[in-house]
Amino acid sequence: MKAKYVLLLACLLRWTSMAFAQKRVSGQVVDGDEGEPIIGATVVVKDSKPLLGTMTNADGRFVIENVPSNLNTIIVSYVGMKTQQVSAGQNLKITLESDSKQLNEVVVTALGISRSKKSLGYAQQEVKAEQLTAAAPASITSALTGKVAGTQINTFGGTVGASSRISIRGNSTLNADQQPLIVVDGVPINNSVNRSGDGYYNGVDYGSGLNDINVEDIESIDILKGGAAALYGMRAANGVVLITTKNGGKKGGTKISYDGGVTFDRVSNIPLLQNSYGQGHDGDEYHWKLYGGSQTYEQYATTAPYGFAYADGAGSGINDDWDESWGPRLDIGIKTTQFDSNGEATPWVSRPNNVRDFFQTGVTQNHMVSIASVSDRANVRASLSYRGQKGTVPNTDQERFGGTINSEVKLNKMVWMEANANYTHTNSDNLIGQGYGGNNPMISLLQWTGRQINMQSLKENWDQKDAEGNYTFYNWNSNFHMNPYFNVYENTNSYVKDRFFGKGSLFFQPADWVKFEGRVGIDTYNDKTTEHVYFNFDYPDGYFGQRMISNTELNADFLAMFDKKWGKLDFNAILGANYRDNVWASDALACDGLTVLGTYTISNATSPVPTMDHSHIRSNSVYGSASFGWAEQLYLDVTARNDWSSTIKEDIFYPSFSLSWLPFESFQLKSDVFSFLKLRGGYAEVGNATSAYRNSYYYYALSAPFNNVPLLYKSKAYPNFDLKPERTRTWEVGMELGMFNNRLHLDVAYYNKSTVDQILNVNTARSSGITSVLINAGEITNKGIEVQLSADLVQTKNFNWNTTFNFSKDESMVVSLADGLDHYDMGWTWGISTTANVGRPWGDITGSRYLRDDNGAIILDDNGMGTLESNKVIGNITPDAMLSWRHDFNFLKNFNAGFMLDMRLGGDIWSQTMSHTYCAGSAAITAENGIREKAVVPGKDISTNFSFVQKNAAGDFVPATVEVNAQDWFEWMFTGNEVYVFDGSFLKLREVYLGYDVPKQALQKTKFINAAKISFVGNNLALLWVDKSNVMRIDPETGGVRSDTYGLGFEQAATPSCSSYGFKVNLTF
Amino acid sequence: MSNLKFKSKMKKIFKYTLLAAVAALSLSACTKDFEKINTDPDAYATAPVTNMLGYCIEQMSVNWGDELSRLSDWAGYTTLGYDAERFNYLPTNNEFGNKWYQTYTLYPELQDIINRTDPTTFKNIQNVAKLLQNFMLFLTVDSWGDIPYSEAFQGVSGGNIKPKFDDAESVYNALAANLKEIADSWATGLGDDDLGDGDFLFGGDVEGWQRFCNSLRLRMAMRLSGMSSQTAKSKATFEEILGNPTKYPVIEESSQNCEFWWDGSASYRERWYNNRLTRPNDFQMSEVFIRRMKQQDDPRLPVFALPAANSGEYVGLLHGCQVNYNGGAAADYSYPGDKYYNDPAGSSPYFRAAETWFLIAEAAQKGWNVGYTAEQAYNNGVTCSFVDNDLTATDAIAYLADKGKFDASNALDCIYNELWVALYKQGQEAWCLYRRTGYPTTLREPVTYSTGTTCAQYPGEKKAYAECDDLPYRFPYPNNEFQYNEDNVTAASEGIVHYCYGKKLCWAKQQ
Repeated sequence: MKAKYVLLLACLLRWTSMAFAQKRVSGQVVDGDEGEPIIGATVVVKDSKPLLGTMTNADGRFVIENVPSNLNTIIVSYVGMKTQQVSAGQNLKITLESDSKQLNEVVVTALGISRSKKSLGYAQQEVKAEQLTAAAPASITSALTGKVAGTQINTFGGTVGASSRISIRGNSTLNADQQPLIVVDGVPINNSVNRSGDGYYNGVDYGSGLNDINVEDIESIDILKGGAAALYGMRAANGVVLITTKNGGKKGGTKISYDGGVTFDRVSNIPLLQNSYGQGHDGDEYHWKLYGGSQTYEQYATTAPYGFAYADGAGSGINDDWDESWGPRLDIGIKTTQFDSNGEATPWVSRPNNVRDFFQTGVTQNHMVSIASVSDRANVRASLSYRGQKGTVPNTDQERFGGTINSEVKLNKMVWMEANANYTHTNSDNLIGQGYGGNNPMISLLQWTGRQINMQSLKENWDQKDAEGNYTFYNWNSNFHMNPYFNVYENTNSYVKDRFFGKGSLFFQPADWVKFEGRVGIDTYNDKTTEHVYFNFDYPDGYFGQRMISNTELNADFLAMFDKKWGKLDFNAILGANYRDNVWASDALACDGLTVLGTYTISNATSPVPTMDHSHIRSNSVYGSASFGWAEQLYLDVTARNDWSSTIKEDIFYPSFSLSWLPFESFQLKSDVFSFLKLRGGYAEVGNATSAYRNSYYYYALSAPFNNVPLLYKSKAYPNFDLKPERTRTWEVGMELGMFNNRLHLDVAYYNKSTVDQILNVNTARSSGITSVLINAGEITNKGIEVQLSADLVQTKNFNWNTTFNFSKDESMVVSLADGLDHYDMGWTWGISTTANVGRPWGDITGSRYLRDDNGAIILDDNGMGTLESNKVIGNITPDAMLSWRHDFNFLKNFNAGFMLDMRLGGDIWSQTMSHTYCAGSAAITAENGIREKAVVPGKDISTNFSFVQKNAAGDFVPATVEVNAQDWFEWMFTGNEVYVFDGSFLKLREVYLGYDVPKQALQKTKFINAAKISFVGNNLALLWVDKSNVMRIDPETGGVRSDTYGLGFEQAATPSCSSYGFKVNLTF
Repeated sequence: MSNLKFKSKMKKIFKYTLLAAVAALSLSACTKDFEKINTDPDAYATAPVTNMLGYCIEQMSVNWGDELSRLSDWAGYTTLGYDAERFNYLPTNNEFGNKWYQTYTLYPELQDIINRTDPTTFKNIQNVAKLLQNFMLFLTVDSWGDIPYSEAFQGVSGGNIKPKFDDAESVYNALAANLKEIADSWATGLGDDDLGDGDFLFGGDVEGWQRFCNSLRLRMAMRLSGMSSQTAKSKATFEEILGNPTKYPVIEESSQNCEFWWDGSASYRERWYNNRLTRPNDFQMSEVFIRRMKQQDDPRLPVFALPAANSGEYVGLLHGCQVNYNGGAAADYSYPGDKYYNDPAGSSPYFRAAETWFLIAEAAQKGWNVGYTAEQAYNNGVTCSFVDNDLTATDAIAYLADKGKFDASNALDCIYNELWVALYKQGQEAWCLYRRTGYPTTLREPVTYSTGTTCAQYPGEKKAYAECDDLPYRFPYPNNEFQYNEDNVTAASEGIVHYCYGKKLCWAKQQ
């Protein structure tokens, strides 16, 4: 925006020049890096009064007439370039060099205002397009992963279209939603997650709002962490992600580009499973010795009651209804009847790859055509894009069509306008169900399963039909599970979404130091999810559900901006007002019974249940900021905002201030070693308002009437009649240090924030007659450090090596909750909760834990049973630290390459996959070291990562000697929640790319291609290291059934993550 | 630019700025719609009381209506065949949380009905709301013993959210007094108000509610009758009610039964049917129940159960097996009969006439003046149960003349066994019968499992702890109370071990 401002200033200057001319100055301004003309560079005559000047045209040329002959110097400047002073003359060729990195970097700050980075008194990190897209990531969030210090991004599982979660500077509230505000080109947009299901056990993830933006359309992303976000008031508590989309650029003329690529996804990190024992129970050697009598093992393993023989998969055979792998040993020459053998006895053999065989290679293709055109009156960019993805799970897909226009048109010297429009259409024929439900194939693929299952047969016969044309539901099991292929082909979840967001701005600049902007921005979408179940064991009569959501957020802003310089004092100010109106509605219809299976119409539904839900929020705000800069070395910023929201009765005031000081400038301390130093610090208060309708009692109806009588009830939560928003107070200090002509740049931030007036939905004992009370209370603090170190390690003609290292650490503390409340549950699944406990860091995992002796060994009784204590802390989901290390290389002129390592330390996870595969005997650990062949001793032969003690005759604790058998042990003896918690640390090879710029000479022959680049890319190529407690080697980044805060720390039968690799092409015409 | 021009320009700019600021402020100050905007359009500002009554009855039935669960297992009707060993007969402290939840959150809903109606013109609905409050508390105190009562429900108006627990006997005393008050209120004449469409239990028949109220008083009096502090009171209650049948009518015919009939739609399916739909192999018929039916040549057996698919015979499954299905397949065992297990619009019974008669028979056997001999009442009870199960009074006469004949020398044995059978699909009440009387005694008789172990079916082969040598004495206090009312629930838990053992209910006998 600064560029345009300068453009206007320049026009203004030309207009005010007076006519007592003596000479003419002319020339062309070009870019030192690329030799291209620079359009819109400001050229002024030094010491002219009034100021004489102009700006360069589309060819980078300028002419200033009537320059007094005594004035011989002109000043040429352009945003992001070093300002030059040159002698006046005719036909000058002026080459502007890029500003040396960081020193005069201009960044986009709150409200889309461009500021010189050195003037900012708070931490702000920017990620440019090249870094975002070098490795062709699948979404904005994966593009940001690991690239911003202090920002944690969780992507969920390996499924198509999945949502993700961004958290900035740790977790500081108890709300499910603590994502930052997303602002695109000055307009807030919705990033909510669309998800069905109960949110605890299962659901379908239809993605989050950020998925609607094409990464290739983005120019830069700025993360506003603390004080930087203060101007957004009650929406800023979790930080702000400012996205700036590409515009026509700075070069004149018209440019057409094609960007495209294809990537292939392969499932990686399948949890480690055993391949020694098949379906059934008590079928191992241990139980044979116990119950087998005179039988040979083969007889035992193929006859009742403990062998295996398939008849109908529902109990008519021998244990063929068992969906566990505690059955007979595989690969020892035994034959028995199996689901794929038509009653014949066939070899009972392992199929180690049967889970992998289920998945296919996913393919994603991206295509984008864009046009950029710049003239002295208009700057326009338009793009059309397509993204098509086929998932690693068969029959899952997503397509996205997008169109964007970014334009700026100057009407006259004082008035110009900007318009910005983005449209996307997304659709999926099927997205996979997650968590524990009939439509997640992972449940029967690797949890409740027989390890001998022949996947090929399931694949070939899933659609087998009988003589009447009805599905036979061909599967290895017929009383709990569906064939996984049937699941993905017939029990589908489809999705379609249309979205438009954009803005129109009018600018009026009556004088060079003041400018007004009126802006209306809108974000509106409609989406529809349709869920079909032909048949499964949750919905034996079929299921049909459909939900339509519409959401429109309107923001109208009026801003007045002032910019004035008095001597060494620079003054900037903004006054603004915002009107926001957000209307959301959901219409849904569901029925769990169909008269004719497979026909999904209302008339075929038995008792369909319609539901409607609405939300309407309106707010008004006024805000202002003032910045004072002294001699380009000392800056003071003050901001203030007042919000009135329909959800809160009182209005709220949010102040902030910050200071930035460049001591080297003040004391002239620059040396060859130390080139730059900035010290900064500030304080800000921001808020987190609440959702609608939380401050009174209501009566509601159950979704379905009973015998046509609506069932009405009074809300059971005690409302808060005087609800306030949460308030976050942040102190931060920081330092930026440049060394060796800024080839080494260090940015360190330390922050200390306190979030008070937490909105707590405090659960109460049911005996109080209510389920919860809504209150404002409590305090959570976060202290953290963020370090970014970047270095141009090698800078030679043929080889450049740049490296960037990010480190962050956040320590949270739940200082207090409400009176008399010492813990607060957030997420919940399978009896485990994530909890805020007073005096502990945010995000404890709470569940059952075994009683231990003083040395931490688990105490067993004489039967080998431990004593479980419930509601104990068994982990914490917050990472200890996050690190990333990125390397970018340029070599042999035309090549560039890079890779990024991403590391997380700590962050515990409770794993449903572990819990269920242990119990079902399918995890590798359940058959290791011959533990099913004999009686085993806990801690010595089995569960050796724990230690166990028993009381001896004298009553002292001694190492346990009680003998157990593996099946009992894993099925019910050692099943406390703590057993399934692992440390989620990892080291990943996140991104790799190798690009080649086709030399200009080679392109000249084509006559129409101006630039071409081809790259080979890879994402998530390797999980290099995990903690040893992660015994199944589960990717710690696969998630649960909800991607908000309440889903953190749970792994719930997630689809294994994938590695993707492919290539991309960029062509410019 | 001249100074003058500059000044005029400045003025203009200040004017613009001022205008903008005024516009912005007036916009921001415009908050008068905010209250309307923040009113939930999907909610009701108020609710007709009959719809709230309907909600309470339906929600009560979702949780207190009988389902295939541990309770039908503890009652000796069905057996958790699948995964039996894993559950080990020890419920977790979250397992019955929903029943607790419904009692404590439906009470305020019913109170809302009472608060919003006038006691003189809405006598019926007020009495019905009070009756349901007391009925659910009765179920709750039966299940847990000491429960919050005197300090409960205060959070609704912003009061105490950590109520203390009251001694069970004092709760029973309060409930008995409340029920008598309701009964006396109706004894002076039924009210004029219409209960409306939401009366899913009696279809607006206020006399039905009146009978239910008095029958509950009998149930409670008999429950407590073994306590020395209560015997006289129990006798008085029986004699008061049975001495004034016009003033205190009771449920005495099958047509007067208190049952909740599900509407059979996908949202409101009968619970046993619902279980069958989603987990068809979890529960089989219990060995003890099938044994009793066969011993008695009881003609109700084909209604209660289906023959096993594999053999065509009625085969019950032992409780507490080491290995699932006792080594066989699901199809080797009987499942519940279609009336109970295969009707989405079936019923959840709360009080059937047979029970009234068996209570009267027991009272008569105790020598209380109830107007019937034990045998008369026993015969009426058996007959009602036959009618409940699609048989006729004639069928009952045949049975009563044969294996079902009342044996005065073994009167209580006859009464308790037949009451147990008649309570089929009322697992909760049957569990209370067992705890009060030890019937059915077969649950404690040793059997030999396929693994060679010989022991009682409770706790079966897999006893987790020494103290757990019987059916559970009580439900475990819900986790929710341990989380949010810890001090009070901890105090109430004194003497309880492994959540459901160690301390019996005040009226319980048990082995």
